[in-house]
Amino acid sequence: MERKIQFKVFKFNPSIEVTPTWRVYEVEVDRGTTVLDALLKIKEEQDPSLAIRYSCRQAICGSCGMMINGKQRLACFTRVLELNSKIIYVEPLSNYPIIRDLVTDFSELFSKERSVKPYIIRDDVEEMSNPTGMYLQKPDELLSYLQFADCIECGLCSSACPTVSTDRLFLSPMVLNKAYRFSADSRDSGLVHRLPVIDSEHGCWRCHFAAACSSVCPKGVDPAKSIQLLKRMITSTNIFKKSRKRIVEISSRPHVTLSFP
Amino acid sequence: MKSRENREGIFGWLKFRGYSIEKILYISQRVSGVGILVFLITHILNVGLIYATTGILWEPPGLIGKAILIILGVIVIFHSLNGIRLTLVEYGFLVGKPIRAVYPYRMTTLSGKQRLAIYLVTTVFVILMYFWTMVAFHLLGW
Amino acid sequence: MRESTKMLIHYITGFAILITGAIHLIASNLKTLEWIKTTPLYPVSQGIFLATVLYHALNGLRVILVELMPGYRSGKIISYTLLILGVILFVFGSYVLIILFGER
Repeated sequence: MERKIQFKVFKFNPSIEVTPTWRVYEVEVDRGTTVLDALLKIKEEQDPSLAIRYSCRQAICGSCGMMINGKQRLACFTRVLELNSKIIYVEPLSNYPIIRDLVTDFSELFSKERSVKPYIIRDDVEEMSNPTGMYLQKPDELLSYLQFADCIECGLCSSACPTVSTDRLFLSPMVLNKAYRFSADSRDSGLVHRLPVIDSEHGCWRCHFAAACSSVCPKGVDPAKSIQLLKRMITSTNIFKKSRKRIVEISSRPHVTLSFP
Repeated sequence: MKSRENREGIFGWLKFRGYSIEKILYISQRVSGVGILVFLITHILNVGLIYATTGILWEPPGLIGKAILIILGVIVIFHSLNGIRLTLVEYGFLVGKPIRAVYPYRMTTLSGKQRLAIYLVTTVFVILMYFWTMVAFHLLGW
Repeated sequence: MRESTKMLIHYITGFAILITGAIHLIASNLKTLEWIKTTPLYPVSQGIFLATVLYHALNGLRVILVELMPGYRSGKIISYTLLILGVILFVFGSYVLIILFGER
């Protein structure tokens, strides 16, 4: 069952053009065609100048986030006929600088991510460089951050967040989710090192639970939840000076031999 | 390579299509808060200055004053009920525990206890509105 | 002050306003319950109401303005301007409260 669907695609090249234009294409789609497939078809058959960023085509790399019919979606994860509209508007993600057509610049987001130290921080430096055993985690300790570790960094949540649309310094949901994922990890004790950035004027307290991030997340990560849990964690460690988190110790197992070249 | 800024600005706050009801509540909380703030400052200055100059503490308000008070009541009731819900949510009480993200994905912030709290807030708001209309009729003398 | 402390005070004052604001509204509007005004704790609760409502309202305004005008310097300017505004309103309001309840 093939149907002709109209695509209105945002075309804009900031280095040579002043204003963006909307180009209309007609594509034949069937039940399984995703928006990314249709855009690639346009690029192959009708307009080779169309710029898109994509990589895996199966919602795991997080490159092809764009505004489809006014909402942030992954192009490879959205089937055309599922949208139930005759005309499909495709725009680049809002709240990011446009490089060309549908390609947006994430460098600011990633530098914010680097500022919250998205890696495991421990006090035992000697053990980290010369490991003698391993860190064991119970299933419930794993579950406390596993959902938030599923983030593919597609940037849809940070595009949807209403605070980001005015506040360019706000850390944005993706980064705060990352900060909670590492702070909640039982191997990590680095919340104190992340606090100066997270607990600042443009940190996690600029989230007011509009939950737009959770309503666009394509991987079930639920950033709104992790940000609220992060606020709770910060309040209990910062103000009540107690943390319910137990930091795991190294457990040396006799049958495990560690050898590093 | 030139790139162009594409920030939505304040209009990003007002985009509701495709997003959940929490975004509408977030904006309503802001707007009602600013409304109460404007009333608060004018109320402090107005009552204080009238009292300091004439010695009258409280005059019965005119029709416009009564209308403002009735609208203010609605705004304050909404702001407090929604504020209680938001306080609980922001300290991680209604958002649920972390779960395994298994397809089809389920967001515990957009369902479960948090949504229940929204329905509860709406119900209490409607009940209080019923009493408030009676107060309003009494105030207007109908 | 850390942002988390500011916001915790914001939420605590929110609940304090619910109580003291209800006392303020009931005592000023219901004729049958006007005896509340004669109790010695009433001026104290009104002073707390004035302080908490000013903090809650002006902190809320600060949050909105900080999101609208991001930046290190503008954040400081917003905070201190609103702090001065709050102190002026608090001094004015407590002056009115003192001359109001000082007569008795």
